[in-house]
Amino acid sequence: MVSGNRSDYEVIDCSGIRAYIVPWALPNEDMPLFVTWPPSLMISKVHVSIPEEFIVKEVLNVSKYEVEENKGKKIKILDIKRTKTIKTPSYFGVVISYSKIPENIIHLGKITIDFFDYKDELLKTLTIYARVFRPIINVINYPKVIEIRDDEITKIPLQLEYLGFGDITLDIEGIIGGRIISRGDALIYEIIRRLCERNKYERKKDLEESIRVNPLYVKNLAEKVRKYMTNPELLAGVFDEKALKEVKKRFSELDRKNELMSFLYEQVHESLINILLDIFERHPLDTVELSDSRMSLLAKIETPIEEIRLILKYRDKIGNEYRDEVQIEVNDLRNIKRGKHKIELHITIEKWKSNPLKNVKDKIFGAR
Amino acid sequence: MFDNETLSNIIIKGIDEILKRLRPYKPDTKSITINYKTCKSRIELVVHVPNDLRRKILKIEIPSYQGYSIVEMRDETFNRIETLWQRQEEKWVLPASKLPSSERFLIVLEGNVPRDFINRIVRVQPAINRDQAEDYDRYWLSCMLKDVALLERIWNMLEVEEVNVNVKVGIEKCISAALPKEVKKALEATREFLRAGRGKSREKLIRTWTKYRIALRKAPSVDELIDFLYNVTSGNFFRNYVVVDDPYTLGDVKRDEKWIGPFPERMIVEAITFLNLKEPAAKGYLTFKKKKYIEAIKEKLHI
Repeated sequence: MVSGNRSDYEVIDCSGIRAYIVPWALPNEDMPLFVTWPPSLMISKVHVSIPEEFIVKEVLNVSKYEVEENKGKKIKILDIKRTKTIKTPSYFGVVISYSKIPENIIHLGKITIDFFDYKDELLKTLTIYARVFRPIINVINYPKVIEIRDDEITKIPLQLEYLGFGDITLDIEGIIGGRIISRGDALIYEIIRRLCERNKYERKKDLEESIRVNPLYVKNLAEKVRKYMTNPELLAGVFDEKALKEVKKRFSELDRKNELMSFLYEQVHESLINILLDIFERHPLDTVELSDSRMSLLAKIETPIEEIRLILKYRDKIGNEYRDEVQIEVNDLRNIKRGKHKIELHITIEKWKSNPLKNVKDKIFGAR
Repeated sequence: MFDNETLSNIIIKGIDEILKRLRPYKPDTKSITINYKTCKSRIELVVHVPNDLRRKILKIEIPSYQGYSIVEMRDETFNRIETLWQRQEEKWVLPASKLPSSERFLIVLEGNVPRDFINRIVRVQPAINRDQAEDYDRYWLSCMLKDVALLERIWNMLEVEEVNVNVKVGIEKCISAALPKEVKKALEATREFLRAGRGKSREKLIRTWTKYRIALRKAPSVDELIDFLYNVTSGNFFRNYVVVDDPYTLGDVKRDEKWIGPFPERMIVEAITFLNLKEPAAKGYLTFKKKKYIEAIKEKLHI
């Protein structure tokens, strides 16, 4: 890797031929490439060879082309669309994308462009690189064994490392005995809990009444609450049967009277503080956003637990999903026979190590 | 759905028809542009109307085919001639007798071009992820012509102007970095106070209330903070912290309307360029000066 004025994604040769591909992309992101040359050059055909696992999405300003597949693809540009005006440059474009998730942070695709004259003789070959980048999250430290006790919150501290390129959203999922246990969405549970407390709740006068709240936010919240209310699995670990019955009753009452939205608006007033606090807590690193700043796992499990698997799922801006996973041995000390079935795990990220790839535009990765 | 041929024929026919009607005035086409953003095509031409006896009876007519209308007219000295054109059924009519003494006139016409056609001649894409440096974030911009021959068929110097690329610039992290710890403390104090309000302990309520009042001396209240965040995400404020490279220029800057939190997580920044037969592809970068933006927020907050 060398820094300097040269680049491996653009080349302009002495005869004025220019080939350029965008300097960076995520896996599955479209990468536009274009080639231009002076009209005085007698170029009849151009072959663009791209490596395996890259796909051809579009071919621009070309009237005739073939794609030959043999350990990679050769796009044979047989005729470009030309103008009658002699002074305008000859030009064509190709859009490709890398269709896999690379294992390493950088995946280089060597693109060779062969130019032929009217006698089919090779005039020139140019090389540019399609540079595909990905993020990587590594778990560098985690407890190998945890203890679960009755009515106690078990903490799972993790140390994580971010490497590579691309902004991500991180979500942590717990799996016990093959079953995904619900991730505690703190705000939603808080709102549901308050369904029963409505009469007790009095707003303090010191806080002003009118807070600008985006209606879309409240609508989104209402959808989430509704989803939780209609999915008993999501509530089972948090509320006991009596409370659950009460919550459901209050919910259908509000829903029936079309009062759910106004109730939520009221709740959001206070929740807004939590959301604002989230701004601080949800971004442990410049490149990482946590899908929920309070990552807790809640479940009701009636058999002894031996192991828990934590799945770290992270998504880049285009929606590619990556994952890492750790297995933690569990020392289950709950009194299951006495009906102590609830488990509450709090996952905390104690330490972050970060080594993002910066300023890739000015770096050279591919050899000429 | 029309094919490329048919669509270009519709546009060519519209322009041809206008030129045919103006033939007695020796029309000289100065430029034809297609505006990518507004889907308007603009024709600038110069006509020659001799200042002789015929002028008294002459009527200049332009068909309003394709929705073309006259948006501007100027004389030789480039003085604007106010609306003398009248719409009569399917045409625009100008009684030549009303023209000033000049003999050459510039006429600017505007008509509509189907979006479908524009999408078939231009390809636009911004980078989805930034390339980050210490002080700024960068996004590549790519605009390319899909078919130069089709463009040339309309007019050999046709230009597609205002080709706009909308870049989503993430700002949530900047705001989180810009807000000092006093703001966080004030928010926590507010939360504690509200929680105490729901409980039964009067002593706790007084304690949290005191903390809440002290915190508010140093930091804005929730309402003030929401208002503040709304202001620093206004297009006018944010546009001072984005730059685009040549051949691009900065267009509209606004909040991403799809935000669902208390403030927008992203800004939509528009970069504008042009494409023509000589410049069939435009590459460039949009730079968001995040360090300066963070500093500006801190300064504005006065904590």
